[in-house]
Amino acid sequence: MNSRLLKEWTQLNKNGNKYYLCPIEENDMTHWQSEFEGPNNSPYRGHKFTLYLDIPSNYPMSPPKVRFKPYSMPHVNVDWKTGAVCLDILESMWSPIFNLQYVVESCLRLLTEPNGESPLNLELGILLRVSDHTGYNGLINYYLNHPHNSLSSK
Amino acid sequence: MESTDRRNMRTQFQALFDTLRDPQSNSYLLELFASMIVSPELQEEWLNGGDSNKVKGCSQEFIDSLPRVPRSEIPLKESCPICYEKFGDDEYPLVAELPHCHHYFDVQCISLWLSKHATCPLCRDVVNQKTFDNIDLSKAELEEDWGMYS
Repeated sequence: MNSRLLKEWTQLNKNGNKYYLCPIEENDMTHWQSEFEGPNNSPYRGHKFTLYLDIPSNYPMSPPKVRFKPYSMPHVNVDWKTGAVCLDILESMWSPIFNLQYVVESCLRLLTEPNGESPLNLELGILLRVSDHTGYNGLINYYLNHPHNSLSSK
Repeated sequence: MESTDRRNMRTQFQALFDTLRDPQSNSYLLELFASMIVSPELQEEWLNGGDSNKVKGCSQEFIDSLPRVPRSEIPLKESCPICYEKFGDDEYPLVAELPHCHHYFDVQCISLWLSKHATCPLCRDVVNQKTFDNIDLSKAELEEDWGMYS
């Protein structure tokens, strides 16, 4: 099944690889990372993000484990401390036809479409739930600009 | 240990494990607990298992009975959606066709998937469920909590 990863890698290099998705170390196909900018139509514009993807041995039968760099992504569905991402396609809705690029694109989509139903960041979750957009965007901005000394989110 | 004891213990562990899976609880504890007590296969199964009403994988009999696509009808230039290999790249391609949705996959790939899941990877059709044609509707009224409508 690991030839699947090689196929994806070849494909990415052929198609321009716009999310800089690549194995972190040359000879290890089990740990990948991706780098991208926050989407323009989101509070994350102008900031750069790193996503880590750990590939299980039975990939693509099981999804990769995905997390943002710790203390880098203030988002309703991301654990601020660990960077863990809560996304249905990475759990019960995973399908072996998905690939790493699709996973990255789904995480990017999460930045413009946060899901208030399953918050990992409770502060942001509450602000989103009560539709306090000023507070919500303000808190995200605060986190983004003070990544290390911001409130210790549970 | 008696096998029933073992089963009970496993159920208790799984319940504890499920409690710890709660995103509000400490994920470090969960990982520590899991790595100490539970075999890697079970960890994966429980972590991926999700809700208690999950659909389990298909039986081996069902998987073995999936219709094989005759060699002359295999689209050799198309790829298996799971491994991305062209069917034609294999000298002796073995391709299975799923019931209802008629999607094609390498036998080996789809067997692996269906042993843990019961859905088509392409369209999420529940592959081992009876179609409406096969269900005796005269009995439907008696079964008020029929899962299909929930």
